[in-house]
Amino acid sequence: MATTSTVKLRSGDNEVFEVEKQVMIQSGTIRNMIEDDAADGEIPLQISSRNLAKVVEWCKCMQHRDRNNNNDNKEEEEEEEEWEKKFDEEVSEDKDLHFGLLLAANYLEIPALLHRLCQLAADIVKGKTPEEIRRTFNIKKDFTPEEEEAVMDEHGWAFHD
Amino acid sequence: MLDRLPCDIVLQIFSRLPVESLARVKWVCKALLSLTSGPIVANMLASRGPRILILTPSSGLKSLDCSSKTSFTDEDGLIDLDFPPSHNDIGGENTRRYIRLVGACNGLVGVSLCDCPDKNDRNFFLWNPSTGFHKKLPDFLGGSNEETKYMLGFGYDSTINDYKVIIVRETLLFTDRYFYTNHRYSVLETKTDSWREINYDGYCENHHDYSYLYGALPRGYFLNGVLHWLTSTTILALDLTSEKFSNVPMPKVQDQVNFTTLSVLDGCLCLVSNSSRDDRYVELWTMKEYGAQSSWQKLFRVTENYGEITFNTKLRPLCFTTTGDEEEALFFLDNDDELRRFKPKDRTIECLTITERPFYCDNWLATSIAYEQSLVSLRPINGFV
Repeated sequence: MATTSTVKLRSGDNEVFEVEKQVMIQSGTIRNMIEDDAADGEIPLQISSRNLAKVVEWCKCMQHRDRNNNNDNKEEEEEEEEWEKKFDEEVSEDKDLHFGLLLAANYLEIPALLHRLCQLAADIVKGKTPEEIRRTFNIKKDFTPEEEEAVMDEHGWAFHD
Repeated sequence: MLDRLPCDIVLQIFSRLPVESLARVKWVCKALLSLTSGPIVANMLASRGPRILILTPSSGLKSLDCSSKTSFTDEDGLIDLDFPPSHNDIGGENTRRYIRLVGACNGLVGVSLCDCPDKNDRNFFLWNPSTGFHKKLPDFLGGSNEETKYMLGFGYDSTINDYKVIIVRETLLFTDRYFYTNHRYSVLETKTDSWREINYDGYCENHHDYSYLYGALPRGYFLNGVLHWLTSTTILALDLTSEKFSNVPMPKVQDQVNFTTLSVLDGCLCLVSNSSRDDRYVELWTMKEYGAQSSWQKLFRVTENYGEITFNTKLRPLCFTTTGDEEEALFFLDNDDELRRFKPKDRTIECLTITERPFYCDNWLATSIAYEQSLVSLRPINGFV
């Protein structure tokens, strides 16, 4: 039986985060470890400290929000909304962070975070031409000019605003 | 980023994108072209439910998302579409063209354009309304002949992995004693890109009357690799692989029942019938097991008593939606100018007027067809479709 109320997460670059179990059970992966009594020591994760810090921050905010769900505290509610808005902006503007968090949320099995990050990615892609998507996500075009010309005629719509 | 994420995360992002955005993602790079061309994305899009393409003489082409959450009777749910996407293909913007919707299959819609409804020379296009993909097919030069009736169809032949457009020309011929019909049909395969004519004697029965079908060009309905047309006595079936005609049996009925419209709903052939004794209702039939006459069953009866809305007996079923937790709903075109949604569970009919019919004009018809959301196009790049 687990004795402590916290869990220690070790990032890929060896930073240790001590977080309440109640917060981290949002992660299916960590929850399974806690239930299997395999979470007493440090849990090594292949996630950078920067990304892991963000994941922990997100989980704390969500847990706080869920706990206060029944309270009608307007001020706190606004604060949380503000935090989420900032999170969205930060992630949308930082592709490396977005990418890292998507992988982390997938690995740690945090569905709500993964959904949010996928929605943010979808919002970024929406309305963009193939060239704009390449530029945004730094993707290399690997079609030959001949191949692109071949599809341009019949898919012209897709290539323009 | 998109090209380096694990497949299942990318697919989760895709599931949040409208088909129009996916049509652009497709051309970002080969990895994404490959992923968007695969069966997982095709199934994901198909599961979003059909859209209805509406063509009206007054307000052009529109598309309705059947699973849209907006109110059905609200015109805002209709998206304007433009066809042809590029006017260069048909010789300038000023040419007034009559558009016909020949058929829909895998998200592609067969479209025929002509200068004047009485002439039979026409241009054919394949068009994916979801992505804007379009391909002009060779013109069909049929001349004009009042004795000839035309049936059109569009479908997919899986044995050659290609789409086919079919024109059946039925000519009434007279001898000293009797008259008979001669059928000729022309086939176009997109890969060979040319029309091929076949004289086929296998289907040559006594006078078949297609006249009760609206317009000169009844549309064929594609199911199980076969195109189907309703005639006065039978369902005429053309197998797109063997290119041979046969008949699909109609329901056995005792009463005086007329079958007025053929359609395909939920993967089954479907017929609309009205009774010559009582014109206050129509019934919808469905053939549960393809080809088996005994499997015809009445799906439900639509009567005039549902609400205030009366309906015409010329009811054309378009699609049946059962997606998600939404209630089952049947979409149909009624009286050639109104789109209706019928919910069998609570027996309600909602109505969306899609064209204002001027009082002096009888021939003011809207046409409509249901199509799947898909990214299908015809031109492959290194093996991708």
